[in-house]
Amino acid sequence: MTDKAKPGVASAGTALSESDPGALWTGPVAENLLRGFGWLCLAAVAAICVLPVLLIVLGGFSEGEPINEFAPTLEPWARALESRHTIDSIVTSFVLSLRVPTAMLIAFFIAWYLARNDVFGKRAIMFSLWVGFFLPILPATLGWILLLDPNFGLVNAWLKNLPFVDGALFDIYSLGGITWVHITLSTIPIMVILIEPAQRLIDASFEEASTMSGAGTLTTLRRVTVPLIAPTLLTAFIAGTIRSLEAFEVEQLLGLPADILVYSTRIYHLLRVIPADAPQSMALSSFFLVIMFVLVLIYRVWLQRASMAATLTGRGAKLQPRQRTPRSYAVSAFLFLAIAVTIGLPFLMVLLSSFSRLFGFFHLPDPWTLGHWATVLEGDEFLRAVSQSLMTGGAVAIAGTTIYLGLAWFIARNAFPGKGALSLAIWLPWALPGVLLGTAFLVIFLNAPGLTIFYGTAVALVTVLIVQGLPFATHLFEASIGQVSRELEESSLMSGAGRLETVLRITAPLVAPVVATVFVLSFMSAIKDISATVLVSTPDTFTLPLLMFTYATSGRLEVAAVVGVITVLIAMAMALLVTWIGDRAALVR
Amino acid sequence: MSAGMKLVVEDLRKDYHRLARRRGEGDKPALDGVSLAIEDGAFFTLLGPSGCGKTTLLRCIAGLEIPDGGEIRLGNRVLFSSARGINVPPNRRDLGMVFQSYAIWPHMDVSENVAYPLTVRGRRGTYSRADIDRRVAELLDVIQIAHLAERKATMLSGGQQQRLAVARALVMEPPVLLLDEPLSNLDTRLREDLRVELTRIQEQLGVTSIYVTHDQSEALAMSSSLAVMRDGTIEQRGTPEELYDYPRTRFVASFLGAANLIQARVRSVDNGGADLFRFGVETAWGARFDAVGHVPFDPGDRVSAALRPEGVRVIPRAEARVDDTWSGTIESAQFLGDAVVYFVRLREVLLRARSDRGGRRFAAGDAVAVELRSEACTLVAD
Repeated sequence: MTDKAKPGVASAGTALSESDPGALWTGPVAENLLRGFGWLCLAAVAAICVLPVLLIVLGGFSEGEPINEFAPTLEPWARALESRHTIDSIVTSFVLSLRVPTAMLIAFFIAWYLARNDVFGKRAIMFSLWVGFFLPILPATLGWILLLDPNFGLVNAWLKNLPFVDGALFDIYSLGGITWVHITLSTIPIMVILIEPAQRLIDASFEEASTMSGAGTLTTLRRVTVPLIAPTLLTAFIAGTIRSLEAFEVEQLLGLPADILVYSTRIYHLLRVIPADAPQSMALSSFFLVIMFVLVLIYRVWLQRASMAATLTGRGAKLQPRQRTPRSYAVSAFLFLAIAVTIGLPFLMVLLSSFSRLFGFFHLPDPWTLGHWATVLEGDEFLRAVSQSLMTGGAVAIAGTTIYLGLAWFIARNAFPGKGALSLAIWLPWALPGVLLGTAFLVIFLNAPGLTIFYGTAVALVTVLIVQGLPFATHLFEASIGQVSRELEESSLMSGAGRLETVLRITAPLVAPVVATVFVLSFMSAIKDISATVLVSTPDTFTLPLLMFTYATSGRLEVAAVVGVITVLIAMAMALLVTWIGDRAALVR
Repeated sequence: MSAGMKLVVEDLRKDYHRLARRRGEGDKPALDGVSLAIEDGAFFTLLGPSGCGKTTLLRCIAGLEIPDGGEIRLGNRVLFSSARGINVPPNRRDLGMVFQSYAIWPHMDVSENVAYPLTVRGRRGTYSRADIDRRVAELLDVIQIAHLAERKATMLSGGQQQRLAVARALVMEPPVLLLDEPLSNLDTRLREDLRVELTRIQEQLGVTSIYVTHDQSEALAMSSSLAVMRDGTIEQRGTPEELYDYPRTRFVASFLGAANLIQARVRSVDNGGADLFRFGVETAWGARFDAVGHVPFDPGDRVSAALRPEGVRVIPRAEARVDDTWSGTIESAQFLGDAVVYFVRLREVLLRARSDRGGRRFAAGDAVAVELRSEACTLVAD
């Protein structure tokens, strides 16, 4: 061994005394340096997560902007508590959040069935779910309005032809309508997308052992499968609930006509309706922080109880999906039908709208035109928005995935003081609805010394999107890394690889499906997000969704639909990529 | 592999509960001052029940656990020293390790798994692509899985995965190979085959091996030297023969070879030379016999006598030549294929006796007497 002593390899350990330079690299000094650097990174992450929240909380106690014009008062809180709208919107938000457990139950069964059975067209199904999830919510909601509007909705009109039906059967402008749009276009698809890879990571022999113990399918699911993927389920549940509380566009579009006010639209109104009352919106958000905090605490306690045992051991998980049966074909047919109705139909409506002269009026004489497409494709702003979106998306995806994975690995594999606090801090950006997170960063980029140079640049946009994606992606990584046996990493260390190399060459490939998911989700945030970016962007940094939002809010719905269709095409390309990577990872196992 | 790469462990301590605010009754240190010296080229086994600290010791040598105190040296290289503040990280210790779960990376094929240690950053540029291919091929040949080189790691049987894990651990020619219960996940037949294989590979390559197991037959069959561990300390070490024939404690006697342990009193002592004593012993009910041992007991001492089952011979009571203190009854018989084990009720003790299948056969309830073969009995400390 000594004969092949290389600098940095064998020499590192041949330390025979404290003065040996080799000892420095491995001894306490180097360790402290490394640890110091680690702490610095963690402190930066914590600061970025805590700062916007702090601003908002302070803002709730001040009538002026909190950095330079802080004027302490309790007035904003008093206004919030006196308003009838506050209670109403919170109750409505809670009722709407019940869609999460419902969707989760459905999604869990779908994910489990897809992971464990050879289902005909499985790739197409997963692909469609990704498309559904990537479908920009704004045009898709417009699509549903075209179908289910009580006055001119196509489905309602068609149903009127049936006997015993008079009047509209469905009303999209209702709690049911809002729930329907969310559950079909985002909640169920994203839950299946998240649960399916976690399910695949679990060795099927755990379930087989339960079957052999005499347990039926349901008992096995309840007592073996669910506890094993509990970390992922919990993350998805908490994330889904918090997301549902801050969802905005659908509530705004469908709730307004029916006078339904939820927490996030209430905040938006306080910020946007004249006279604006930003302090009250911040007070209201602080209240939401408390709810969020309780949810996350519950999550932490549950997570500690749930067995975090490594389920992907070094022996190689056996993953032979069960053979196709008549039943699996029936399930497949049902899923295809459901996808056609819930995802295909609104997409078709968006597509049709982009070619229609007047949005929603398909029975005009000569209703079709290519004019809107020409308008969009010939305009400068479209090309600029596309390149801006792709660049922002790329930056968010690359930087975000790296940061999220590194952070999650650090938390999952190391014990250090303050670990619990850091894990909590990471959730904080989600305590703020996108609009307020944007507001907080706007305040920071306009006022904080040294950061003002970033105002109006893509850096501001990328930062906001990375911070917005951080809570979910980090916890998703944390949960999946927890399911990779430590011995798989330790054997790499024993092979001579350092920790960084081990993460890159062993851990990351093993959680490849999750890496792909996070990468694409981060990328798509630049193609989808409106609420967080609308305030920090300037016309120079307009992304596609902001362009679409501008068209839609200025009444040019047909043009918005064109941008929507293009966004969907990008979404489909991304969905192809992510399912392709998932398949490759599946082949490996 | 240069000569003189002796592995020395000195006063190694590790307590997982060190920082716990309240210690439970059973919270003993995992390693309570372990010292060892393992000669170059040895096949050294750490044997003990689960929780005795053997895996912790192995992981401390590997660098995967950081001991609370003590020192680990390999040749003249210090791997860990609490006094000098040295802790070489595991990836710079250049040791090979085979894990209990094998830890085969499912996203690589067989060759990629084996080649990995040669392609890590610390060794990049040291080996050319051709070098790597050649060494991987050579090693797969030695381990006899050359025909599987292109196969996905997940498409291997348990035994093949085990061989692959060994190949990967050996490819960088480590001075020491660490094995953490590598055979415990395999079936009996495969386990015996691989025992022979591991011994052959170890002899062929001459690599110093430290092998952790709770299986005493593995330990006896494979080791050139072994240590029995208990509660974070080394109870006894020596060659397999020394430990089997002359256990010093009840624990070692019962852990190796399931000896019968009976309470007795020393009647006479005779220093037979070297450090081996010969004793005259008597049981509570008056049965007398001869015993040997390394522990210097005095006449009148209460002791435990370890009787190997193969040293206890069962004969029909009618043929017994001596007094009836050795008469008893067969309580049950177990047929093992190559031998029969009888459980003989002798006053208040139940003796286990092992006979070749060719001998006379007895059934439960038969009246018998037992005879002890010479040197079948060792006196041990409690």
